[in-house]
Amino acid sequence: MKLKSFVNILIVFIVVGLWCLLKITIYHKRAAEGASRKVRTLYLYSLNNYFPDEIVKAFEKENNCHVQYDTFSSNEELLAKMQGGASGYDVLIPSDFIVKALIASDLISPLDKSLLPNAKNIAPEFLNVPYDPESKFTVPYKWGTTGFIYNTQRISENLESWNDVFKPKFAGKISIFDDEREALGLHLQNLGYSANSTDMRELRQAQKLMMERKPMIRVFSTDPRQLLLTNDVWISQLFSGDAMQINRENKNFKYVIPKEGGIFWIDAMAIPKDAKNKDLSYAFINFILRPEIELINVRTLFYSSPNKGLESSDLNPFLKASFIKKLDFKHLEFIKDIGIDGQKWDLIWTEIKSQ
Amino acid sequence: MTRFINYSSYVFVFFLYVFLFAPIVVLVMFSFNNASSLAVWSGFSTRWYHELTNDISILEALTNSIEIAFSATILSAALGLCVGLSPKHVFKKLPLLPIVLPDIVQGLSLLCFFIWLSVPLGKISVILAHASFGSAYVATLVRSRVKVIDPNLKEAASDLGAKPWAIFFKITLPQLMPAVISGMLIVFTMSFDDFSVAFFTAGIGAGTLPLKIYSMLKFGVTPVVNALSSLIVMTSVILMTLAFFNRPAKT
Amino acid sequence: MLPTFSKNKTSLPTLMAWFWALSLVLAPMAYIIIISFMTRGPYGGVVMTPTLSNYTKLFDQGLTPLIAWAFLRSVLMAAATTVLCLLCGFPLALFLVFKSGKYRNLLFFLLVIPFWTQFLIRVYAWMSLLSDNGIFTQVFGTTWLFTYKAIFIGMLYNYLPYMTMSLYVNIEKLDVMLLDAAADLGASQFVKFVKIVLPLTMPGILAGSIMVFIPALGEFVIPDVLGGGKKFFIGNLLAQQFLTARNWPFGAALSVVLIIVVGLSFYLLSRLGKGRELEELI
Repeated sequence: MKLKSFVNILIVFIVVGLWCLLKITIYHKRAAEGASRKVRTLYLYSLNNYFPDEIVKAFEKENNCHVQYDTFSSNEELLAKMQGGASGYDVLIPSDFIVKALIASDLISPLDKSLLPNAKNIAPEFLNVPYDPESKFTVPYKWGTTGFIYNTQRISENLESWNDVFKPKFAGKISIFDDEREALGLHLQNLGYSANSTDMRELRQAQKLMMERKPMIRVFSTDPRQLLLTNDVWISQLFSGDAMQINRENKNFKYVIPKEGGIFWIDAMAIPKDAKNKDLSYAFINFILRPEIELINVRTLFYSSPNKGLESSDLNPFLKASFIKKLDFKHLEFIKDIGIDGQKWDLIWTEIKSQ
Repeated sequence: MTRFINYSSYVFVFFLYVFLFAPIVVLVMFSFNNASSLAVWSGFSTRWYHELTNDISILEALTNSIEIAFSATILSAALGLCVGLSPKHVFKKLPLLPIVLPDIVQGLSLLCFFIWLSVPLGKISVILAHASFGSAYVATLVRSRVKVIDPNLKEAASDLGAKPWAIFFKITLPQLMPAVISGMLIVFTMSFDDFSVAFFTAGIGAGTLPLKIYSMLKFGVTPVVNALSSLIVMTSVILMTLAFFNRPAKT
Repeated sequence: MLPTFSKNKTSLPTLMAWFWALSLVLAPMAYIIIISFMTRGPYGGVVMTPTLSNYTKLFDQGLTPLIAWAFLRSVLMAAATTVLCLLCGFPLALFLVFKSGKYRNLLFFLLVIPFWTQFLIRVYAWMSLLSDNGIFTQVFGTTWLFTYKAIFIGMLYNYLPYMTMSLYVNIEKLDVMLLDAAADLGASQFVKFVKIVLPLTMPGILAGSIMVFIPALGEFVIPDVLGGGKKFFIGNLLAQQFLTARNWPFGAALSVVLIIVVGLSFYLLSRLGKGRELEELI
């Protein structure tokens, strides 16, 4: 009977499916160890791989809760989803310029500092920053710069500027971020303009420069680490933290902040207006700000910390908050939210990508 | 000449199967790679499988995917049956629309629509979105099965005084079952595999496996993905083999 | 006579069918058409002020060529994918039906297995195969990853099973007697193919083409991941308008254009089928 065999399939199907479900649920229960009957959930929304499992587990254990870590693949996606009404997240990790847009769209709530005693650990350089002038809405999470990295085994000369990078001999071995603010921003800086320019003439010049260079670019990617390690590309625009990670695996890479300028960025922690578990949100942020937790975090992620509690540790000085004093801010710029002028950027980016 | 065509057809089909399986073989192979590289082999190890069991976020994404696929399958079966059995002319052609419309258009329009209706973006929105095209598959299959069924049976039953619902559950449904079940299998596969629609309609706590893998491709991919996909391949091979040998040989 | 539910129009099943049709299929489509006539808010979102500007923008001097290019690229890619899938899928389906003998079920089963891995995992597997250290570059030389070639391979790989299955279902029904009769009459392989096999399998070819061409039109992940994100296809343009530029009304207008292109291709392809019931094959 045909029907019987189909039913058999269905049974197999359901049994195995349920088995998977159960198996995994049991696993969760065990992970949130000692959890009593009612387990609350903290909804965290961040880039992928930005919170080590170890820390998440420690927080779950301490607060008897479960952390649901959802990921987005670009800052703009976070903003679009939040504006679209993806409500219910408890903690967001947006970058600086998106914070501004989130505040303007009335999507994040001011922080009650009395609930964040560990905020005292933040180095003063990271407070009252341009995107959040009175540090009312956010606490810094990680910071770094955007420059480029190159493989010194493949390239013997010293590369100091983007003009050294875009040479015919490196054609097809260069990777640029798939991000209009960073990728177009670098060409603006390369021309001596601000990475936040909204002047159409300047933007057009940057576009022209980028179009000339496009045939040399192998790929637009915001995470080219694998490609660098496999030699598919030799030079890439990169965040300082990712550069540190690459250096941990392979010493033959050199990170450079180009002569004409780079980007300085801060990723922040914020609480959405409609968060349902605000007490957990505060507990989480406060937990992350603990120096001993931050130390584990930085040792795993290799992103620089704004926490001055790590100064006495044996961390690479690059990763400490005090390293900010050694940066040459004449060459570094914040990416700013440009509001409605963003449409100019969108248009130019569309043109670059469509041609 | 005929002989030549004969041989070349075997060679051609052989290469097609190599083409189909090469990526899967490579995936499984590199899941046992010692280093974190996805392209350079540097020794055997099972470390990525260990890391997989520790990577809660991936396992969570997997649970989400299974939950969503299950719910969407059941919802689609119910809705699809109704649509497939409806005598109205609209319902004969309409299921074609979600089947052929590009995923991205479906995802986008459902996203805008859900936001307009303030349906919170989450698991429910993804399930509804998947049921949108899922029901269409079930309906199409049910309708083509209906044409095969003997209508006299139903009439005989109603002549004997059976109530409509009793007729439906005792006579119509069992005969439609093969169509419904193969439809459900298709829906489950499509839902489990879907990236584009979930990409737009997913929200809080609804990160499915494809979404997780996408954000890993964008930020920090490791052979954990290989380990996971090897396991998925193995599970599906076992499942399909069971189904395969359970099927009576065709005559 | 179809074994339908009751004739009573307000029965629960009818309501459920309408629920699906209206709220999950028609209303979202209608809504996106409405949005395409609205205005963008300063930080994104939709302001309900009617305007035609999203459509006049399509004919803006600077934008039109860009959009046209993205569409053209998508159409060409989808067409090429369809042809490639046909060229590979047709012989394969013929082989499965006529040559595979007792291994037929096994071979068909093997054809479906890659389907059960995740779409993104398949794409990702091709990334490592095509990378500079991967087999392709080692064996054939030249760069593969992040080129059009890579996009083609990814598209062919992901859409081939759809095509093969549509054809398989159709060819399975072919009348073997007819073929034998033709051979007895001394028809050559070629004549047999053109005069008999091709016309008989036409519905399958068309159904397969629809199943490949139309979804391929909107594909945006493969160009993004395997193509290195260097060229926008229409799908990428749409995703960018919705998720990065957050210009929903304009994105909606683009979707409407895409829907029109899809409708046209569907109409043309089914016209070729001379009114045969395509839905039966899918």
